[in-house]
Amino acid sequence: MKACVSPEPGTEPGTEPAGADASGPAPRRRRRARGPRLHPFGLRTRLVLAFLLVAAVGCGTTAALTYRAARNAILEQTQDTAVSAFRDQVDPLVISLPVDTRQLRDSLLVIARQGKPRPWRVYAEYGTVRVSSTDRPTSSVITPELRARAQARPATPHGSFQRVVKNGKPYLTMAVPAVFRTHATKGTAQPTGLVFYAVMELDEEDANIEAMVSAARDGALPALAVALIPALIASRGVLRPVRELRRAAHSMGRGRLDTRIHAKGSDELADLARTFNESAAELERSVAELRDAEARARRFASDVSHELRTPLAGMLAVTEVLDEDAGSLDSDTARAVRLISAETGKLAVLVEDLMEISRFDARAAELHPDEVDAADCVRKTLQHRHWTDPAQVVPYLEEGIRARLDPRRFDVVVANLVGNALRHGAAPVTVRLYAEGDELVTEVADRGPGIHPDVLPHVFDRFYKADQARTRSAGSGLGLAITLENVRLHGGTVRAANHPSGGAVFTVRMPL
Amino acid sequence: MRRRKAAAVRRLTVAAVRHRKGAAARRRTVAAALLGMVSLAACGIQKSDVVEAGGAATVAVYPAPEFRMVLYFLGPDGRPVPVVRDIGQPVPDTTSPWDETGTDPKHRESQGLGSGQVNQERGTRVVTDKVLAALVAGPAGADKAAGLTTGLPGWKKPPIAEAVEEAGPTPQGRRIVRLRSPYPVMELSDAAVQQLVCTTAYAEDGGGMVEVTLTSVDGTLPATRCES
Repeated sequence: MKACVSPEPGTEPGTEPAGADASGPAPRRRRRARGPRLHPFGLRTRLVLAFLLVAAVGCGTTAALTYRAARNAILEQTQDTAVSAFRDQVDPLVISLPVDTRQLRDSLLVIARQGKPRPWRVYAEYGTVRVSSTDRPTSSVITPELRARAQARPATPHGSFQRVVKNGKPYLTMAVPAVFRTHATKGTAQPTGLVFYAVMELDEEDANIEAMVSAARDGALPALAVALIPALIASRGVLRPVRELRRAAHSMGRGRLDTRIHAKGSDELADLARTFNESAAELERSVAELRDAEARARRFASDVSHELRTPLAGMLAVTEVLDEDAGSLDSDTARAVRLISAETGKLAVLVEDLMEISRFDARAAELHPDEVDAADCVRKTLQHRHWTDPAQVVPYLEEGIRARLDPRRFDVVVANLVGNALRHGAAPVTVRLYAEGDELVTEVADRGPGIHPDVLPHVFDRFYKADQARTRSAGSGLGLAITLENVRLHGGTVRAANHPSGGAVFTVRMPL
Repeated sequence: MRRRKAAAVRRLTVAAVRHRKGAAARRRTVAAALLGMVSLAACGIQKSDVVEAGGAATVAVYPAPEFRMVLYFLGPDGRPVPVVRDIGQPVPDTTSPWDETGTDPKHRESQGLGSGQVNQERGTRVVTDKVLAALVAGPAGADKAAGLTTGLPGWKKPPIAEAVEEAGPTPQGRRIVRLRSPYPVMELSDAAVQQLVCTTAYAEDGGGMVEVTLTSVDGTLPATRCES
C-alpha cells in the first residue's frame, strides 16, 4: 500500500452548475432503456381498423343490395307465377249463380291440387256462401284489406295479392274476382260477386332468402379477413419509415449527430425523411462549430495559464527574497512588499487552479488509482495542512477501510472541502469517514450559518460568489469546481446540503 | 384594441361551435346512412300492402246466354249481385237496329233472352216484363240460402218496360228504356233502383248498353245506367 501523497492544497475550481447534486450520466442511461413500445391505438391499429371499416361498408352495401335485388326477384317471380297460375285455373270454371256449393267445392279441390309453383289452399266467397278446399270455410291469413280490394267494383276488376306474415310464417294471399260475360260478343264482363282466394306458404322462398343471407354473411367474413392483408401491408409501408425516423431521432438524441435515414420514394414520408436528414446535417454542422469554438476557448485559457506560470515562478522567487528583507525596509515599503508577495502567491494559486481545470475540460486529467487506507489518507491531509487543533477540525474516521483511490486527487477533495468549511463556515469542522454499502462516504460539516437556499444550486459553479458584495475572497473561486471534477473522475458524487441543526454539510460518495 | 380581441375571440368561439355542430351533423348523417343500410338489408320476407296483379278471371256461367235471365239482388254488403236463371227454351233474338251483329238470322237466333235481344216486336217487351216479374217476386230459396236479399218492396205487379225512341241513343250509344211502375218509385232506395236498372239493362241488351228511367205516378227518376 502506498502512503498518501499530499499534493498542493486544493485549488478552488468550479465546474458545471450541476445543482447541489452533481451526479453522473444517469438520465441518459434511463432514456436508452426505452425500447420499442406497443400502442393499443397506434397508427397500425387505426389503419387496419379503417381498412376493415371500408371493407365492411363495401361488403355490406354490396351484399345488402344484391340480397335485396335477389329477394325481390325471387318474390316477384313466385308472386307473378302464382297469381297468373291461379287466374288461369279459375278461368275455365263453369258456375251457376247463385253458386252451387258442392260443385264449386269440387272445382276448388281440383285447383288446390294444381297450385303453382306449390300447392295452395283455395277459398271462394259469394254472398254469405263460403267454400274452401280445406275443412275450414275461410282462412284467417286473408286480410280485410285484400277482401275489400277484391270485392270493390272498379270499372275493370283485377286480381291482387298480398304477402302476410303470421306467427313468423310468410304467406302469399291472392284474390281473383270472377267476372262473366253477359253476352257472347258484346259489352264488358260483369262481376259475378264471386271471389276466389288462394293462400300459399312462402316457406321455400323464406328458406332460399335465409340461405342468401347466410351466404352473404359467409362471404363477407372472408372478405374482411382478406382486407386485413392490404391493411397490414399499407400500415407497414407507413410504419416502417416512421419507426426508422423514431430510431434516428432517438440516436440523434443520444448524441450521434451523423445519423441519417435512408430516404427513398417520392411520398410524404420520404419528404419527411429528407427534411430530417437535412436538419440533422445542419445540426451536426452547428454543433461541430460550437465544439470548435469551445475547444478554442479552452485552449486559450490553458495557454494563458501556461504562459503566466513561468513569469510567476520567477516573481515568486523574487518576492520570497523581498519578504525576507522586508524587515530591514521602512514600514511603508515593507507593507507594499508584503502585499505584492501575498498577491503574487494568490495569483500563482489561481494559475495552478486554472491549469487544473483546463486539464479537466480537455479531458486530459488522468486517474492513478491505488489501493489505500482511506482514514490514513484523510489523517495525512489534515496533518499536512496543520489542521490538527481539535477546536478547529474534529475527525471521526472509520479505521481499516481499503479503497481504490487516486491519493493525490482524494487529498485535493478533502483539503478543498475542509478549507472551504473553515473559510466560509465556522469551527469546529467535523470530518467523518465511513463505508456505506460499496461506497466510501466522506462527510465534512461545519457549524457556520449554512448555505443560503438560493446559493445551494450554484456552490459548485466556477467563480461563483455567494456574497456578491464581496468581490474578493480568500480562495480562487475554483476550489469546489475542482473538487467536483475530481470526485467525478472517481465515478462518485458530491452533494451540498444544510444540516437541520445548522451548518453546511458536504457529502462525497465514491465507489470503494 | 381590447374590443377587437374580444370580437376575434367571439368569432373563434362561433367557428368552434359551428365546427362542433358540423361534426354532430356529420355523425348524424353517418348514423342515418348506416341505419338506411341496415334497413335496406332487413332480412327475410316482409309483409306487403295489397298489390294489384293482372285482371280478373272470366268464368263461364250456365245456362248459356240464350237460355237464361239475369236478375240482380243484393249481396250481404248491399251491392247488386247477379243471379242467373234458366228460362226453359231459347228466346229468338229479333232484329235490333243497335245490334251490329244482327244481320245473320241464324246468329241472331243464337242470341237468347239473356242476351238482351228480347223484344219480340218493337215497342213490346214481353220477355223483359217476364224478367222484371221474376225480379219483383224476390229471391228464391237458393238465392236466400246464399244470403241474397232484395231492396224492392213487395210489389204485386212488375213495372212495364218501353223503349224511348224519340230521344235516340245517348252519346255513348246507349238506348233509353223507360220503366213504368204501378207503384211509387221516389221512395225506392238506390240499391233497389240499381236492381231494376241492371236487370232491365241486361234483359234489353246483352252488353247492358241501356239507360233506364223509372217513372210512376209520383214522379220520374232520371236515366240511370247499371253500375254494378
